[in-house]
Amino acid sequence: MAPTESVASVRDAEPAAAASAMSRAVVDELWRASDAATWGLEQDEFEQILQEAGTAWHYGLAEGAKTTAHEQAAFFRGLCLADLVLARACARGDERAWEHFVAVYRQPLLRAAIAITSSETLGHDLADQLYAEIYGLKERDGERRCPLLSYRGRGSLLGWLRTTLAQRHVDHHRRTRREEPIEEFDASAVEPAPETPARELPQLEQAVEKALAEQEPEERFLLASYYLDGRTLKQVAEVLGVHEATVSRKLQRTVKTIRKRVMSNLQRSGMGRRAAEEAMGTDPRDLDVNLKKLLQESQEETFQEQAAT
Amino acid sequence: MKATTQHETHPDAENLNAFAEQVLSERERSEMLRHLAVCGRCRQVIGLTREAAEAEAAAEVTSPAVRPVAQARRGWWKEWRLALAPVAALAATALVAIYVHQHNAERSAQMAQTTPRAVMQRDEPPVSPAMQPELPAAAPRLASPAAPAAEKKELKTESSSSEARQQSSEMAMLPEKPSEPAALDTSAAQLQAAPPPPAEAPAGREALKTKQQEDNTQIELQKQQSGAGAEPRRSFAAKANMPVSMAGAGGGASASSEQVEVTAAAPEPKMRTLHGAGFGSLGGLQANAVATRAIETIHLPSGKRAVSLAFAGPRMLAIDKAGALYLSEDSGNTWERVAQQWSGRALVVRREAQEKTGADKAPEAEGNLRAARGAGGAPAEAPIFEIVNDKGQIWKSTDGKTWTAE
Repeated sequence: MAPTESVASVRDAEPAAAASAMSRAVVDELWRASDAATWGLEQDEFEQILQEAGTAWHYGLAEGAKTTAHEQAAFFRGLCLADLVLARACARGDERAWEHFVAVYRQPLLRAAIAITSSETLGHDLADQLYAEIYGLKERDGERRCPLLSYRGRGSLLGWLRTTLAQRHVDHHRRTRREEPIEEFDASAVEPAPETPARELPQLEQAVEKALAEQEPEERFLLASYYLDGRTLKQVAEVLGVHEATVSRKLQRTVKTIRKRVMSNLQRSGMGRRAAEEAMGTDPRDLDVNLKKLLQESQEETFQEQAAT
Repeated sequence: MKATTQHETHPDAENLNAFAEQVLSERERSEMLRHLAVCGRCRQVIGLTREAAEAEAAAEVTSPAVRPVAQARRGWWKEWRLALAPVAALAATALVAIYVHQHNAERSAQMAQTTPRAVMQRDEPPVSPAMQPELPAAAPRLASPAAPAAEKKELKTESSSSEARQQSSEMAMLPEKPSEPAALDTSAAQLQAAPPPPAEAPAGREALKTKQQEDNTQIELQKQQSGAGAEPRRSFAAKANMPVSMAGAGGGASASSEQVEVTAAAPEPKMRTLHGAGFGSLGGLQANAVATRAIETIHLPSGKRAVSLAFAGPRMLAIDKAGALYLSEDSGNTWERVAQQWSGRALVVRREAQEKTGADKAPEAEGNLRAARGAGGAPAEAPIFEIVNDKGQIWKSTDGKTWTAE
């Protein structure tokens, strides 16, 4: 798979083996519930949209797993079908759908862009750029390509628009920052070498990397969000959908566990207990730098402009 | 999800949004977290997305114009919903207060109607002994409620010398008038004179007729004189809304009709006393008493109490509480029900109101008096009675039997 391909585009290539099992009654029910007729979508066209979405998402199941009609129906009922048919109608060029889209989403889109960029000017620019792209002013291979086609109803259309705006802003920011002169980029990059380049430091880095690799994805996400991104407990809790206190307890437990594992890893590498404890007392900035390298070393290289393309 | 590491791909906007909106399955979420744990860019995207959503939510809260129309329409009702409870309580309290007030007013009015005598006695000013003999003389049946049976018997058994003596003895038993008014007219002086001795009393029917004529003449004179000062009573009757009228005069078209309202709750009407007018000097207040006693002593065939009474000579018309009209041609001795020829419920029967100037009244009174006495003069025209129903409509009749709408 080419690195430039998005997850969704990869899913587009998957065969829709189980899509044919979808009940006609379910399609009719969903077609009526989504009010697809308002935008001139017939049932056959609507069913095709559903099949594409189900195939792209594997009906929410593991890749390659066989799905039953019941599972498919449950998956389709979980989609934002009204938003999905509106997005498809807009992508098709339906004027009434565009009028509705502009009336409902134009202002929220602008407000989201301003909130993301923290600037009214940049926000207007960002929103106008996405709006023009959505309206189909951008062409690829001589064909007009509407980003709304990549929306498949998993989550709200407004949320999708916000996320797309955020993606573009982050990507633009990172690209711009990467183009800055090095001397101006980060003066602190020229860090003084550790006073005591500990002999144990490589062992310590390996031990930390191994300990982190053994952590659960959620624990690693907690560590990265809290220690690297500087998010507050509340912000992390909102992203995970849990209480703030839960995040705090999990963080404490995770740090304790990592410490134990690092100690264990150091001892396994042949370091004595006393030496391991001394290594754990190394300047935190050293560990911090190593941790940042560990989690982010390949990000700049692998950054790909893929959202909404 | 295939995008597990930074070296491959980033999840697209829909994946990230689905994670942020927490609509992913547990397996999908775990894969996303695995990516997010090592991808600062996607964590930043999700963070900014959440900040934008919070800003949008804050804008919706602070800007009511953003609210949907349906929600805005419901808003005013929701905002005022809590205020409806005290408003409803106030309205209920007001309704109860109005009901209680009206109920008390009706009850007091009923009490006043059932005890008119007591109220009248309380309202009556002390009557001078000189006036006392006039009551039995003017209306022998009405003068003394305590002895209606005796008077009725007197009328039924024709006039006899013994009855005449009895009547004379009643008159004689009354206290002697200490002093005469300074300016009594001739008729009043004659009426107030001592009754004839038993030996001189006429016997038989002729004597009774003469007596009745004298009585009627006396009543007519009383009406004429009291009517001059009874102007405000009509409006008062409208206020009291419980009229018990007594209209009558001693025959003759010249007699101005009088309506006496007897209402316990009513204030004392302003009367103009005609000093030196003889019988008329009784004033409206005593006329009230006469009317009240007259109504109370009438025994209608329906057994119900009379609420309105009018008479002209021996002809009397009375309306009972049920609104039925009764006619008596013999001064209330016998009653005959009059077939209803009017709509609604009859409330008041009276003599027709005639606008007469004060200057015209005295000569007419004199003429009526002479006609009643048979002393010559122009014959009196037939009186016109009126019936007023509960809708304020009026029917007229000259004989009390045939009624035509005005």
